[in-house]
Amino acid sequence: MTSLILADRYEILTHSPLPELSTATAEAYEARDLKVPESKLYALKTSVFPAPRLSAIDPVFSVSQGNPSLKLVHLMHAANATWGKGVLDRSAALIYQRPGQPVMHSLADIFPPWPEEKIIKKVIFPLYNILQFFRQKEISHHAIRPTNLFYEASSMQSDILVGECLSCPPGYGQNSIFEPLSLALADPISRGEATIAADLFALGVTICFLLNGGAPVNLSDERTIILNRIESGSFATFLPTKQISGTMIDLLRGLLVDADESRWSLKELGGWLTNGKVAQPNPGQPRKASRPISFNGKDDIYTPTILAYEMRCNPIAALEIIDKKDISMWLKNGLNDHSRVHQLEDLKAITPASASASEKLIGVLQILDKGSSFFWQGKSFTGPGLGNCLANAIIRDDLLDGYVRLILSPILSYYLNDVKIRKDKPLDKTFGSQISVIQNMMEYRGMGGGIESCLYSLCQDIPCLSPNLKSYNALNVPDILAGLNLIGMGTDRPDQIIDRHISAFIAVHESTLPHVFFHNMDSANKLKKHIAIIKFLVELQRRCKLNRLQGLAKWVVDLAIPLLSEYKNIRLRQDLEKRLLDLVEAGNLKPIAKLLDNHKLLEADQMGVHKAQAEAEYIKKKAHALIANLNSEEHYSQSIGYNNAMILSTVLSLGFTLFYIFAMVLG
Amino acid sequence: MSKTERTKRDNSKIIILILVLFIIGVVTYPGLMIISFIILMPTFAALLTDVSQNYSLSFCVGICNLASSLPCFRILYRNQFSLESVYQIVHDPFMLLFVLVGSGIGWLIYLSVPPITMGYYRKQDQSNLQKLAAKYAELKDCWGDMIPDSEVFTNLSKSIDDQSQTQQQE
Repeated sequence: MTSLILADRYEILTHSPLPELSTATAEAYEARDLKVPESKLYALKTSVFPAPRLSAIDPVFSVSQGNPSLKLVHLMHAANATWGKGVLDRSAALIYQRPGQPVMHSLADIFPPWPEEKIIKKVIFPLYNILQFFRQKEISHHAIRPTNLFYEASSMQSDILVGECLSCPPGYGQNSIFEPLSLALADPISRGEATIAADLFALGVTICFLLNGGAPVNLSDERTIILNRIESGSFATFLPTKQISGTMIDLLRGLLVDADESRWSLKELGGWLTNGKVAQPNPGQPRKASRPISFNGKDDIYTPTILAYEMRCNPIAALEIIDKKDISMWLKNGLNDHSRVHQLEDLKAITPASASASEKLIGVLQILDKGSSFFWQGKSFTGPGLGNCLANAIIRDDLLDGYVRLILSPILSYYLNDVKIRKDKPLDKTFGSQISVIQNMMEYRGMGGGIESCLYSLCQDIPCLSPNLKSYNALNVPDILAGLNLIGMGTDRPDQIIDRHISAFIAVHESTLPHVFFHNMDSANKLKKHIAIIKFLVELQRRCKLNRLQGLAKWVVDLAIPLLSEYKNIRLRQDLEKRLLDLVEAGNLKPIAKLLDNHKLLEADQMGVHKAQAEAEYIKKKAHALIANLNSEEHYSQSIGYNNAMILSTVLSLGFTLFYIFAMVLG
Repeated sequence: MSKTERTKRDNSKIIILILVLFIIGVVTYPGLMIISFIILMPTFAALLTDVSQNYSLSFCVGICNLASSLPCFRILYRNQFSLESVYQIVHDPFMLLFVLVGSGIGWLIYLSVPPITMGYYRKQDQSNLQKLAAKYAELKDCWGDMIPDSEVFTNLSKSIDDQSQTQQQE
C-alpha cells in the first residue's frame, strides 16, 4: 500500500487509481484530506510533457479558494510532488474536490435531451459565473465540454460542476468541434492559451450536445465537420436537430460565431441571462467566387478559406499551385478580391529569394484564411501554441532543423506581428516582437542559446527537458539544482552536468545572469569548461541560497579529478585531489571553484615542468660524465693520489729531518 | 697516458746527467760521492723503474731516502768526507738498514696512497651518482611522464637492487 502525503495534509492513495477522472495527460488517484477526513478528493498526477498549465494554477486556486460556492471542481492543493517510483519520478500533483459522475462519459454517448431551463440553471449560469472570475484573473478555462461536466457528488439536486482545466496544455483535451475554427485547425498540443471567447464557443457547442441528447454532428467525420463549419458556419453545423426555443437559438447564434471578435462576450451572455436581451451578431458569411478554382482534383472550391483548408490537407499539391500563380488569378478574376492579390504581391517582397516553399505556404495560407493557425511541414500551430509545438518536436526529435528555419524566417514574425501575447491587452507586446528577440538567441549557437533557448522563451510553463532531468520536472532554477544534487548522490551519473537544455532553461529563467558564464562553458579545453560549469553552478547556488549541495559537489569533484591531469606535478595533483574531496562534505561549490580556478598555480605548474625537464637533462649529463669516469682505466683521482703520496713522503721526510736536527742540537 | 706510452718513457738522460755529476763529484769529493752512490741506490732504482708522469715514485723514494741518509751524511761531514768514515759507514749494517727502511717507507707511500685516494674518489663518485639517480627518481615521481625514462638510471637502479639482493643473500 503506497501513499503520498502533500503539505502534511493531503494523502494521495497511489494504489487506488480513478480512471474515470483521468485526463488526456494525467492519471487520477483517490486522495484524502487528513484534516477533514469526510471530504472526498482526487489527485491528478500530471505528465512532465505535455506540461500542465502551471501559470494558470495560482489564478485557478485563487478563484477556487475565494469562491467556494462556484460550481467548479475546486482545486485544493497543487505541488511538484515526488511520486513513489524513485526520487527522480517527479511531476505536478493537483488535488481536487472529487465530483460525481460526468454528464457524458464520452462524446459519443446518447442521453435524453436536457430541458432548456435545466441547461440554463445547471450549466449556463454556473459557467457564466466561473468565466467571470476567470476573466478577472485573465485566464481561460479551455476545457469546457460535456465530458468535463460532472454531477456534484454530495448534491441531491444534481447540480453540475465544471471539471478541471489545468492538467493538460490549453485545449489539449478538447475535440476540435469545441474550438473556434481558428483553433480547431491547430494540432491539440499547439493551440496555446486562448481567451474567454474560446470558452464561450465551447459553451455553445456543449449546450448543443445537451439540447440534442448527444453529438449534433457525426464525430467520426472531422473533415466534413470542418468543411461544413467553413461553408455554413459553426452555428448552422452544430444546431441541434431537436426543437429548441427562439431564445436558445439566439444564444447559440451568439456563441457559435467563428470569428472571435463577432462572438458574444460575457457581457452579452449576462444580458441574455438576466433579461433575454440579445444583440444579434453579424457572422458574415464568406464571399463566394463567381467561378470555382480547381485544386487537387476538386472543382467546387468557391471560397479562399475552403481553398486554404484543402491546401493544408494536400501541402504538396499546394506548393505546386503556389508556383503556378493560379491563386492570384482566381482571386482577381473569380473573387474580385484585390486586397488578397496585393497581399500575395507583398508576400513576395517579404520572403527572401532563398525562402523555402514551406515558408511561402505559410504566407499564402494566412492570406487566404487570415487568423487561422500556422501550417508548417505538416504541423499546425497558433502563435501562443508555437512553444508547445516546438517542445513536442524536441521531445520527439522531429524536424528540428525545420523549426530553426521557421523561427529564423521573417515570414513568421511578420504574421505574428498582429498577434498579441495577451489578447485581452491591446497594448501588450506581440508575438512578432518576441520572435524577433528569440531570433537573436537562436543565432547564438553556444550554451544558453540555440533552439533550446527559443523553446524556453516561448514556453515558460515547460519544465527543463534535459535528458539529465527528464523525470525530475524541474520548473525553476532551484529545482534544477536540487535535481542535479540528487543525480550527484547516485552512481549512474551522466558525463556532463550542464547540457544545452539546462543552460538554455537557466538563461531564460535567470535573465540577469551575465552572458560570460554561458560563453565560458563553450571552451574546448575540458578543464576550463568544467571550471566554467562550476562557476556557473556557484552563481546559481548563491542566487538560490542553497547552502549544502553535497551530491552536486561530489559530482563536480568526481568529474574534476580526471581533469586535474592538466596539472603535471603529480604531488600537486594528489594534494588538489585530497583538498577537493575534503570540500565535498560541506556541499559548498564556491571553494571548489576557487581551488580549481587558480591560474597562477597552473602557470607555476607549467613553469615547473620546464624547470624539472631542464634539471633532469642536467642530471643525466652529469651522471653520464660520472659513469664515464668510473668506467675509465685512468681515474682523474690517480694524479691526486700520486700528489698525495709525494706530499705525504715530503711531510714525513721533513718531520724526520727536523726531528733529527733538534735531536742533534739538543744532544 | 696509456701503458705503452709509460714503458716507452726514457730516463736515460737523467741517469747520464747524474753519472756526469757523479764523475765530477768523485774527482772533487770522492768520499761523499761513494757514500751517496751507495746510500742513494734505492732512489736510482726508483728512477730507473719510474713510469709515473710526475716522477712521483722517484720523488717519494728519493725524499725518504735523503731523509734517512741524514745520519750518514752527518758522520761523513764530521770526518771531513774522509774515506775512513766511508769505510766505517759501509761497514755499519744498522746505518744501511736505516737508509733502506727510509727508502722502503717512501716506496710504500708511493704504492699505497694513490690507490687509497682513488678508492676514496671512486666511492665519492658512486655516491654522487646514486644521489643523482635519487634526484632523478624524485623528479620522475613528482612529474611522471613529463620526465623521460633514462637508461642510465634504470640500469643503475637494477645494479643497486642486484647488489642489495646479493648482500641480503650473503
